[in-house]
Amino acid sequence: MQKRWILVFICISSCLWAQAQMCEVKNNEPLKLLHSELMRNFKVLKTQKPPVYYLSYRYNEVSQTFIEASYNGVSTQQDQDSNVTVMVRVGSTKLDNTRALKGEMADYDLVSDGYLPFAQLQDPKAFQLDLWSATQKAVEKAQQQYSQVLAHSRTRSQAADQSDDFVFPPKETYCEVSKPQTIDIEKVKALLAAGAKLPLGKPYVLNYNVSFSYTHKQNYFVDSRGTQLTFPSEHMRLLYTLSNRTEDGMDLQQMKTYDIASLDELPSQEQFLADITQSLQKLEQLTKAQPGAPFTAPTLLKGRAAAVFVHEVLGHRLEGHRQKDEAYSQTFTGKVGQPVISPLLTIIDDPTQIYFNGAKLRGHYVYDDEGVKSRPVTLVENGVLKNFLMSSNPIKGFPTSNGHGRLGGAHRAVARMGVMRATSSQTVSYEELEQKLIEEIKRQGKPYGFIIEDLGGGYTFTSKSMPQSFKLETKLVWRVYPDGRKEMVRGLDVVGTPLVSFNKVLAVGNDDTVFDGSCGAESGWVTQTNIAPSILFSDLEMQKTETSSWKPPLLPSPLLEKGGKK
Amino acid sequence: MKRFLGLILVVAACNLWAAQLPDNIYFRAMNDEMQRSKKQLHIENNAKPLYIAYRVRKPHNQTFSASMGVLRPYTDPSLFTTDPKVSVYMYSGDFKNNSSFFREDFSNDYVEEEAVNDSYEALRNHLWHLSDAEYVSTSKLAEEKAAVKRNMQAADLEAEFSKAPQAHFVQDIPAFTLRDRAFYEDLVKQISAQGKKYDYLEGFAAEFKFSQTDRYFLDSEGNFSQDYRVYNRLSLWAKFRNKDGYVIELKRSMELPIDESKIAAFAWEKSAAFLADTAKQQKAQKAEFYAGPVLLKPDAAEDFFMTLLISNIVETKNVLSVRGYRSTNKLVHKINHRIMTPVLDVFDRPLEREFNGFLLRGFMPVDAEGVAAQPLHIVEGGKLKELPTVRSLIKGQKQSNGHAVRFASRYPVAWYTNLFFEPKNPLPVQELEQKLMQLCREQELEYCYIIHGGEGVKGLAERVYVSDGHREPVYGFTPQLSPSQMRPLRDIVAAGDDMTLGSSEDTVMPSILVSDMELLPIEKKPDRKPFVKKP
Repeated sequence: MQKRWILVFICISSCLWAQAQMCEVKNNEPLKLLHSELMRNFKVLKTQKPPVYYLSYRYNEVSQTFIEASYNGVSTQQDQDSNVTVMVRVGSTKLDNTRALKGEMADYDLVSDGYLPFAQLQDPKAFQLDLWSATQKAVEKAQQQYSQVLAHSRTRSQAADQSDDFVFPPKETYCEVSKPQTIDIEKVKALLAAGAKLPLGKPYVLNYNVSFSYTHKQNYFVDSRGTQLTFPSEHMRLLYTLSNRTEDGMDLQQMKTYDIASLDELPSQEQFLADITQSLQKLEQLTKAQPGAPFTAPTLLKGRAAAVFVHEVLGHRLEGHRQKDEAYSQTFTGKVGQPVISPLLTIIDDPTQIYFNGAKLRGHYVYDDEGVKSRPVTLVENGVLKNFLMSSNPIKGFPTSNGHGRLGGAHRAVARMGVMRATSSQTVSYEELEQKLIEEIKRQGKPYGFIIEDLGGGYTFTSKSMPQSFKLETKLVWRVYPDGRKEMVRGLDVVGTPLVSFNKVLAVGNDDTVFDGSCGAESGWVTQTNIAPSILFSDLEMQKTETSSWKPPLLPSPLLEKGGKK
Repeated sequence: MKRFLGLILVVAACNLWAAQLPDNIYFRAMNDEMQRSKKQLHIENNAKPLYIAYRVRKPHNQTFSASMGVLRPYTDPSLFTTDPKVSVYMYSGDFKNNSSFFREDFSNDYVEEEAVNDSYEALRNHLWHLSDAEYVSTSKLAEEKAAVKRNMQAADLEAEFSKAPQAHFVQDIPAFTLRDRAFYEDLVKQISAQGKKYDYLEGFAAEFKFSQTDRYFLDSEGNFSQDYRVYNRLSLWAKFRNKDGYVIELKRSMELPIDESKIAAFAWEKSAAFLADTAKQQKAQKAEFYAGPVLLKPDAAEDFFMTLLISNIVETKNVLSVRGYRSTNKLVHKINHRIMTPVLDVFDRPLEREFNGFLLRGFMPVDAEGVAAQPLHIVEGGKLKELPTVRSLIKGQKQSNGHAVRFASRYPVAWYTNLFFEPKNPLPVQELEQKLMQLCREQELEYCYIIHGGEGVKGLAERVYVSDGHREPVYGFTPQLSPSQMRPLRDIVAAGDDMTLGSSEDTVMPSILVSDMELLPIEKKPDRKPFVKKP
């Protein structure tokens, strides 16, 4: 009850910030225009040979602000753009142009000039002309693809999963509009400039920048089933990165992001400077730290690191299309109802969630990029596989979308994560986790274990042609000795295979932490949130980080020189 | 005489600004880092840098564009800071005669131009990074190159990297003027709205772009320059299907008059001409194979000279790549030989800033190797007299003539600046057309061609019939020209008096009459018909 109250309160607050207003679909001019032009085109296209059986338009009006400060300079960029993506399906739901050809990687690119350079809604005639022209190109490409699909389907061996290529999304209407927030540029500049002074002239900082970005989108979606949607989305982020390179060519980085809903949520200058100062200290410490060595040992992943771990190692393998396309390794295909990871963990993806512990979540969305309403999905419950992230591309046993069809840029939507959260019904405090880590180190007789405080990102191979491994790049690693002593080390990455790693969970913390980021895959870059508590593993493998062939500069930073006219 | 004047200008500039480095953050940052790099940049057992050049470019832009009468989003320049772009290039050790792509042959570590925040500290920091990366990279290359030479037993073909007299050029840089937004938005909207009157057009857009790039250059020999370039342009774009079903996207971009009070009239005139061309092209006939006399209008003449002459007078030094020494320029050994018709002389004029009220893009007082750029008389009476050169000398040359030009990701190469193709006896265009018809009759042809510009589906030409002089627009032809076959340069029999600034804004040439040329029809099939009727 209390949680629901908080959610309602937060939603109202966010609506006020974004000045969002509910509206009537029938009175929304852009939707009317998009819908009428789509239906005009579809009426003819569905009679073609081969026929277009589904058509959708996505149109975005984007406004962006970017402010960056470094080395006593500040730059500002503010602009607006608009673009259209046309999605065409030729053939039938059973077999269409998007079918992944066996033995080949599927083509996820939509017509590259599906982006309309001059798309503007102020003049209906000009806009219709652009839509018509983009539709023509998209249909030409889809028909070509469909010919290839037909040829392949007659000559190649049968796929194991004979599910249809598409399920029609339910008809939806939704109308909510907002205007971009007014950004007080001078206020942001002042904060950035203050932050950017701190790293200046520090001998252990090779490069740095402090930036602020704000993107507001008014999204429009219409399709040939009658769906008409418009809704806003916005992301505001404050970020700083500090980097250095060691004598042995290792690139080090410390960074922090603040994902916020409005300028009111910006950290105070005092807090911001304190955070940068702390990161500078860590960077200096890292620069002086000894390089780590490859080793397998008990490892505690702190919240942010655990969130990235869940995303890379598990999340991508739960995306629906990877269970059907035989180019992928299909790690979890056919394992619904079976235990796949530690029974201590439950994994949920809930893009409807806007906030977590007061932090705005980048992975939230109202409707996915196929016009399907977002909804929470329990993927794994107490270690047992329950569901997959689904787009409108059905797979065996999962015939409908659960609102996870997402894309970035001119790509076809596939199932992607939104707000993925790892939880557990049996949790302990972080302090207890550290204690358990030390106990496990002693039990295994290892000279030391690891605490991974932060991961920068990583990647995982999901295609059959590659080994089913992952690699996660660490930002901050501590070596923990049996006597509880901690020593910072640098240059270690976490590597392993998913099925083995996720069954080595010993304990889960109660310190849920948010990692907000962006993820790039077949369907482009999408914003995402991963939430996880700290997780203790009985062992994880560390390997050495790749180093650059470049040494640090021969001369010291010019900013360490004294005097001189600037 | 003109060449003499050019020299006087350079000398005057040198004396006036002798060793007076302008006092601004760009030069302070470049000079401070340059002094440090010269003194201290050194890897043990490696040579110090032989030559270092720093370049800073600060762009300013303001754009107004519209499509079919609808404005595109306007980016307010006051809310869009354009950061200066810094680049560093360096020659270290044995570094002469390198292929401009030599670096790519050996290494992927090329340091690109970087945009930095506009402050002394940001500039210093990036110059420091780039100098370091460039020195390490060029030192490594010098060693690798020495190994290649040993393996190939290759001897030096040319003189060392040559010295040059000091060159300085300083011009006050004005603040970028923001144009009247309301005026230009209204103008571009109205111009693009003309597209609505043409039923066959699937799109018509216009754009005014006002740009200024402030340029700062300093090298390790104390040469420097400060100037600015203005690019004010009108771009027009149209898309349509011609009667045979080919989708044609035409784009034309042109320099705006220096006198801004003439811009509106100019834009109306040019957009009307552009739309008239689309109308011709929409109903034009497809070309067939043709061999015979051709009159090339200035735009077409520019393509002709670009292919046959201009591509052969640049990159004049022999270069060493992993494949060995090779000559990139076949004209290097043809000085004083006849290479083309005596009908036109060819001049390179780096110090000229404008032509007929329009700015020339090739203005370059000091080149990318710190050498004062000199005017050249490239072709005189059909004979090749001189070529653009850089500090890596070519045979028979004592000094660079200041034509080192640097393109993105490449070392400076010998390049042209502003090329003028000047007829000895210019003929009025009408007379040139009569001459074309005369040649046509002599060869007993039914018609001859006047090419206006372009090629393929985008090309526009006219067939002129001998019987009654009537004209038919034609598209879909490809002139048979190749840089390796310069023979057609000798077939120019006359040139017009219509000297025109080319679309590249660094060539000025008239219409030319070529006695014999081949045109091939395109083989491309028409595009698919629209599935749905145009809205």
